[in-house]
Amino acid sequence: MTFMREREATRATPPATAQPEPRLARRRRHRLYPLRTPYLFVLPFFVLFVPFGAGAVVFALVMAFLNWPLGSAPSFTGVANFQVVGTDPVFGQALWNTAWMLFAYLVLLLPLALAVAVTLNHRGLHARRVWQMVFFLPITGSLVIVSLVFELMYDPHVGFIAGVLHQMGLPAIPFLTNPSLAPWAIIILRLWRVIGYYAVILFAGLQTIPPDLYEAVSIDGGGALAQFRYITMPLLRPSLMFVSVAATVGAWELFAEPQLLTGGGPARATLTAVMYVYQTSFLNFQLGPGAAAAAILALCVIATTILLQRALRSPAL
Amino acid sequence: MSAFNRRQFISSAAVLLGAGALSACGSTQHTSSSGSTGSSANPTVYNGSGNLTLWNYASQFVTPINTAFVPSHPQIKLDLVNLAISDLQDRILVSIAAGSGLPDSASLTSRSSDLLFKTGAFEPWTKAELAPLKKGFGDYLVSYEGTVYGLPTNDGRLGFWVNNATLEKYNIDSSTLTTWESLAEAGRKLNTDSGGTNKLFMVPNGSNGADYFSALVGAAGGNWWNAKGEFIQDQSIAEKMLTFVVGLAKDKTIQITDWTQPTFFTLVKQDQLSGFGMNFAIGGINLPKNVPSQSGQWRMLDWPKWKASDPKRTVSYGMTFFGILKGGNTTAAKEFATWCFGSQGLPLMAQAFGSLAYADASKLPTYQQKFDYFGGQQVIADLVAQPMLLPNFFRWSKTEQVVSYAVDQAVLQKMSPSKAIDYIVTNLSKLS
Repeated sequence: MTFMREREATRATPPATAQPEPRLARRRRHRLYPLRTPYLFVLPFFVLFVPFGAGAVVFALVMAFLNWPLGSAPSFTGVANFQVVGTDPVFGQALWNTAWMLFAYLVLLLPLALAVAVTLNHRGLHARRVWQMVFFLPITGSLVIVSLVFELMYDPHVGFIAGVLHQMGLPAIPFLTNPSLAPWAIIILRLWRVIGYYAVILFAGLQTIPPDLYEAVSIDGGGALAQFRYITMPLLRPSLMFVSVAATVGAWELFAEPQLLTGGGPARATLTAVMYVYQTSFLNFQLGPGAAAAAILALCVIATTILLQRALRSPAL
Repeated sequence: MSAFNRRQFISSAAVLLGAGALSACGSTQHTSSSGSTGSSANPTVYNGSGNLTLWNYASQFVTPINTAFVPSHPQIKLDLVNLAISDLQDRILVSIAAGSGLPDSASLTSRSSDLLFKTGAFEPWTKAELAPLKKGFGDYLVSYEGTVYGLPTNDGRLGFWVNNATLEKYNIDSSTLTTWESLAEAGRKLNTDSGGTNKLFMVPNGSNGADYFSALVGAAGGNWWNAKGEFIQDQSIAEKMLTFVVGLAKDKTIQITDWTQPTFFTLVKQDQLSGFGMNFAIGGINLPKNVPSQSGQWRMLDWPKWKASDPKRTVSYGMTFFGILKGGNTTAAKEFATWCFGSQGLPLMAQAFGSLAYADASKLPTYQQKFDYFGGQQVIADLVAQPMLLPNFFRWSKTEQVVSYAVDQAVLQKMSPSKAIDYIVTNLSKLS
């Protein structure tokens, strides 16, 4: 009897520590709420992305198979546009220029960005944030203004570099009018502008590496090189992959710098694939071949990105 | 608000946002005409009214439009949009492709006229409308397949501009510089005596180089295309001109630069460039504006000849014209175009552009103006005293690309002039 009374008393009085359950709003109690709500949050992005991002890509792909004279209705032309572009030696040269400039750019960018990142990460570096800002500043400048400033610097008559060379008794260098030098002038401009940006990304990656791993290597008798080879490089691989892929895609899309500095010259030495697409579509009024060239370029970007990812994931590295 | 309405609100807001983004990103409505169509029985009188959208790249004409056309045409609400020439062409192209967003009128260059007119987006001028103006324009009306679509404003006539004070300093008499050979000789002397710093010729590279070289060929009587748009196989004039230019490059008497470079007028100021061939916009307007310190020193010479016995002549670098787009306020647009050549507009155009493509402009006091910058020379009168040849601009973008490659290779001495011309012939004749 006492037990029964105790049980009734327990049942009637809830435990003192239990919190009352909140009453959820009706919409949140709906069984589809957790499924639908996230999509509503991302909907604004897709409302713009579908027509102007994905839609534009699909439209361009369709255009590559059309003969579309301006002012007239388009007609299906099969792969004729691809044949025109594929057999155009100018497109071949533009692709080649873009590819070798990309290779040279990556070969210089990755070590330099890594060196800057490692320096920024060094324990003994004073005013680290100031140095980070200094290296990051170039990417914040307008690309057009930076290109114009470099154009002035490169000028063989009145440019800053020509002035320095003149003071040293050396002849001026025609950076932008020599077909062998003009591509390098553009690569240097690009490197100056982006090194800090990628270095900051790699620096963030370096910051995630636990310091006790380095300690473990030094306890085992390993020096700085061993630390770099066995700790830094493997653990920095995700950041390196991101930097490589982003830089590669950006390099395939090289347009503004050669368009502003050289117009693709001299003698097409700096003509890039995107410049070819622009000239074909907007200057020659050939929308179909321009779209076909853009499609081929997109395939090159995708292929390079896949190869790069596989190479960086390789255990050999 | 109930929970149900809140859910509806979010969904509706998302849909509205998307619709709003889509409509905002669409091109603007093409203004509708509220006047007559312009192809009326009395074509010389346009009672244009309503909104008139004008896309313009000729910046020197903006002030006359705003200060003279607008007040004298209160019934026309002008929306003047100033754009860089390349932006303007891109926008026109996109608007034609989209079928909307076109202006009522746009200032364009005759170099891209064939591609633009081929689209069918431009309003033609009828014979009746042109009758009062045809005599004044002669052969300079901008047409395509026999139909006139544009009334040219400036004619882009080339003169050879020299710093006479510098030439005198080096004992070079500018009055003897009438042939290419005499100019080349003067250029070599200037280069040598100045220690290799001062040059008498400018040779651009890239597309400006192609246009410039084409103008050099045109002034000598050559053309890439005939009047029907067929490629001319015999390019002996072009080869002769390219051999001459390459000779100048070998003698180091040229500056590889052009008027669009930020350092062009710095070279002039620093006495590193004391001569160049170009139109009035560059030589007569921009030069005095950018190098005021050399006022009184410069002169404009007649365009050089190959032989002293050759007739005096020059060439057009390319004309500007106002093209009228179909489907818009064509009446107001034609009213604007004909205003440009009326008693009010013509003197203002002459002030803005210098030499015009309209013969009656030669009677204007502006043409007889003496320019202090050029030592009192009547520059415009001297410029238009030279008969002008008009290049046949067909497939010009492709022509520029092919010619610029060949000329760049030849000037850099990576290709002989004859091989460079062969390259041009091979690649351009395919397009006929």
